[in-house]
Amino acid sequence: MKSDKKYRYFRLNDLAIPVVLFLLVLSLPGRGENTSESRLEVHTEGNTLWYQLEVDSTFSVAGNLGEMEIIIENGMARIARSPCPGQDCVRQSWINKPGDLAVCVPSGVFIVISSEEDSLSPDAVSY
Amino acid sequence: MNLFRRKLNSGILLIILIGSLAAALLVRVFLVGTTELLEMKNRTPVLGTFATYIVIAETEAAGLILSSMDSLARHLDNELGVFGSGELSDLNMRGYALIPELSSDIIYLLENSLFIASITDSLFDPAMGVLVELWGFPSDPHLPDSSDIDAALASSGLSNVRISGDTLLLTSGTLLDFGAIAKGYTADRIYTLAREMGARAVLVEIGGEIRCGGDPEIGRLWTLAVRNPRGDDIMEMIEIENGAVATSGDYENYFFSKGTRFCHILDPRTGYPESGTASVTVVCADAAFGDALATAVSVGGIDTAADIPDSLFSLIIVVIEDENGEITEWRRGSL
Repeated sequence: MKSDKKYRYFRLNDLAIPVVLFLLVLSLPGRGENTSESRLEVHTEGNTLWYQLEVDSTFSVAGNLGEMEIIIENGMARIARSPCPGQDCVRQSWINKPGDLAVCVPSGVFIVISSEEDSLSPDAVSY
Repeated sequence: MNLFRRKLNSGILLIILIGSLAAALLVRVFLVGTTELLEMKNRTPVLGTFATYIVIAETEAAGLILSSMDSLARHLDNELGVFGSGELSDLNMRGYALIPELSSDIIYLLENSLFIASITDSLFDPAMGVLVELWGFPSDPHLPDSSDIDAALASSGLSNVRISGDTLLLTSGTLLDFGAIAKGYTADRIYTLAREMGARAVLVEIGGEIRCGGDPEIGRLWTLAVRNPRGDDIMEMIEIENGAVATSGDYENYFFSKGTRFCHILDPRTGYPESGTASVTVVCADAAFGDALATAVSVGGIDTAADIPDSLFSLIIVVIEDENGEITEWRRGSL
């Protein structure tokens, strides 16, 4: 008989779980919001571009020899296509850890995973 | 019976969990939207300095927005140059221009330069091109002869800019130079372009002049640092969602002659660089206004800062260095 009382259909405390779950999902950072996760830096002649690693994308950048294609997938990045003669950059494996680097010397382009410290720095400096 | 109730109880709990998860996701979609947003950042040389652009936009649009921002910066860099092949250079060379034929950029800069001059006792003056050239800033700074400074001073200043009918006239030898407002103005223009192209949040920094903002539902809080004028470290960290931060300092471009420091910010009253103000930071709505006000306060010090109408700024920070090298900070307003 005691056990019948213990397992009632609802208890007020049961509501705590869905409420916490609801708030947790709402508080998750969305894409485009500022997070401290690693980013991909793409350095070309005179330009540096930053990309979020958590967003899968394929994009082109202009190198010294022509357009190159870079892929971000599952938090990793690599140079997928380059007009350079050696194709060493294309053969290089995926990079995914802060400091990992892929370089195409003839194109004057390199990609690097930036560290967490970099992403915690201010967005801009007034001077 | 107990087993049945336990199963029923756990089943209801499972339904509640799934229901709350679905409700939370629906609320998120309603608040943030279903489109995938990408944050991209670009740093590139322009206007004789470096620019930083940060854009949050739909993945497909972000790249186009960034490249359009860069193109506009290069266009304005050319058009607003004192020398070269742009519109301002052409106006300076001819000494006149038909006002209806002037671009909206030049009109804006003229009108707002006149306004800033009117509220700062002409301590902000865009007709100082001859003096800037004489001092050799930024590429070849040097101490000119005092007689040359006097001669350049005579052909400098807004008193040498007149309007006759629909024609803008410059006194012979007078050069317009929007260098003290152009970086801020360019930041504002690029920011506006990016927002018009659909960017949900944008930051533009050109040579330290910053304009930033975004949709409230994106909730991007921009963290901005202000450089210590007497060190390589950070003097102040500012967090804003929308607005502008501009700083003028005597440390950006300067030289020493016989132990005296000469910076690039010239006093329109004397033709010599200002002294005593190490840096001025203005937080306000538009980078163009912030840029121009920071320059005027650098020249006029806290007396000028104290007279600026409240409606034009949120915060002004003035860092002063006395003859003994002692640094003090003066503030007006708050974030």
